[in-house]
Amino acid sequence: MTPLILMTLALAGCGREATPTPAHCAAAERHDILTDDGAALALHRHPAEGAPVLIVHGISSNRHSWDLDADRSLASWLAAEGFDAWLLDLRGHGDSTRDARGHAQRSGWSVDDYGQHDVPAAIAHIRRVTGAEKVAYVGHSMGGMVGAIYATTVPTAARDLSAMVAVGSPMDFSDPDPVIGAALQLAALSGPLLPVVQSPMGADLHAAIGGNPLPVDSMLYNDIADPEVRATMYRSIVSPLSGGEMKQFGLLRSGGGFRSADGQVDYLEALADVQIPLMVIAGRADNIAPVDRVLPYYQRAGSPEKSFVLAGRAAGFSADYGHMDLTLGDHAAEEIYPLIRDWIDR
Amino acid sequence: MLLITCMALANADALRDAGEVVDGPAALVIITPGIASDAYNGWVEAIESRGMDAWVFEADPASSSASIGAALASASAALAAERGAISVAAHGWGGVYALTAGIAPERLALVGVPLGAHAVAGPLDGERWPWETSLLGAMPPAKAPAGALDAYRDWVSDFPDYTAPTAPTLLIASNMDAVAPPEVVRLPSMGWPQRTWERAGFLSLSGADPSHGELLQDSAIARRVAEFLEEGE
Repeated sequence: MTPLILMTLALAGCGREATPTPAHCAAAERHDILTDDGAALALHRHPAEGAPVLIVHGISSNRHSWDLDADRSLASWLAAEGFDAWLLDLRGHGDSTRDARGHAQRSGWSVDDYGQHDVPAAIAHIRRVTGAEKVAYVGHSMGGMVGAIYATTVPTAARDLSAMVAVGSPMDFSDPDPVIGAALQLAALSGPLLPVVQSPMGADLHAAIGGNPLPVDSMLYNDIADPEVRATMYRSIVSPLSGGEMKQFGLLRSGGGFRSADGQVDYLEALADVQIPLMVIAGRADNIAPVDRVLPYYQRAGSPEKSFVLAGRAAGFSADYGHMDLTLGDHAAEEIYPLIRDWIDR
Repeated sequence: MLLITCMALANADALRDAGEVVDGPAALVIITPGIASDAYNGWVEAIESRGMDAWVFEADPASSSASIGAALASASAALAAERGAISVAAHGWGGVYALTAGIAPERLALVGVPLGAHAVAGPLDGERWPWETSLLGAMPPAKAPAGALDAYRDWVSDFPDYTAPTAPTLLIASNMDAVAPPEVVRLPSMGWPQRTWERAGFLSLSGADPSHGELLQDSAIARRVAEFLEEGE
């Protein structure tokens, strides 16, 4: 039943393009940039004097997955700690839904495009504006996978990144489970047919009923107690899916490591050549990115400096973290944000 | 049958014919030292409901952890000599003894059995088990052989050597099992020749993710174990 509900949430939308902006975000600076392939992107800067950090969201999300309100914002938290925090809306998400001429972004982009065009453009802009030689990278879920694409395929990544943090980012899709396997099968079927899958209306409907009666909630969080926060999360974060990225995820239905859109590059294997300091964080109760699908990211990386964190009670955390708990959970600001700060500030 | 029981008892460990079925293919259930044998009643019932003859191996609490593997190997060999090929089922740390004892069952079902060291050991702050019992779920305790609980603590970070089973093996794990989460079950077993991997809980549409104790008590999992063991018959 769950895949059906996920499909319903994914297909029920009708083209919302703007996302609500929490009041605290009004203080952030907006920077509009272009990628080398013509996409327009919005960066939201929470400025401070310290080292710059690029923060990237996951699939069907936007920057608010790291910046929901004053109490649940890695960007605000890092800025208060002296870091220059930059939130990126990947193409087609959040404030990056239109190109430089005001038209809808050209459709059909893949996950590879995020790592090979969007992130390099954002990194270059941040280096140019701040004068910093290096930028730290923090990605949640697919955002961490995008970081892997960038680190393994863009030659300047080793020069430009000071550190990477991948949070709840699955890289191993072997032994597919029934629910995820069905979702990947659905992605494989629908990706080639739909240029963009509008998911926000389904999320809006879920927010409107205000609680957690749907199984999809069990996939997303385990430690967000306030129903209003959950409703805000659904209203603010969910963004459309690209048919191209669904097609790329559909390749994973046959198992193996996360691969390029043409199937030729196994990014999990390619991580062996990455030398960038890497922290990988997994949530014990994460049903989108179970620990055994995230751990290989850490295990395969060639980085001489690397760290793996398991956010769960057995490891001393106050909660067993679900997928969205890692960025927005009730204990994220106390337990996850400091880990990220300490890693990028080594 | 008397011979088998005498041989097992000679090793100061108990091999006994459980349930009511007295013929049919033999299936050996390994009781984890420190867990009450009653907790396995559901497994015995499920196995016998499929026409197999359930036996249990329960280490004598007067023995030591170091001797359990040898006693299990001896008991398994005795049962196989009497009854022909046997299948084996184990939960939790009991399965580690099955792996390290060198037994060669026809089929093997391992539920919540760690197959390697944990990636993050974390604070081991349980008084009895490596973790607090609230993380383990219902685990009806029994007196454990000397050193068994210390062995469990050691295995969290320093897992013993073993040879991957060549028999068809069912592996069931849960995201919320503190003892054997999928990263210490699925990943270490990826090269096993005949493995069937199943994640219990939400991602298999089988309810909430069970704890370690719930994996043992869940009747659907007991039925799945019995079904798998029977497939070889």
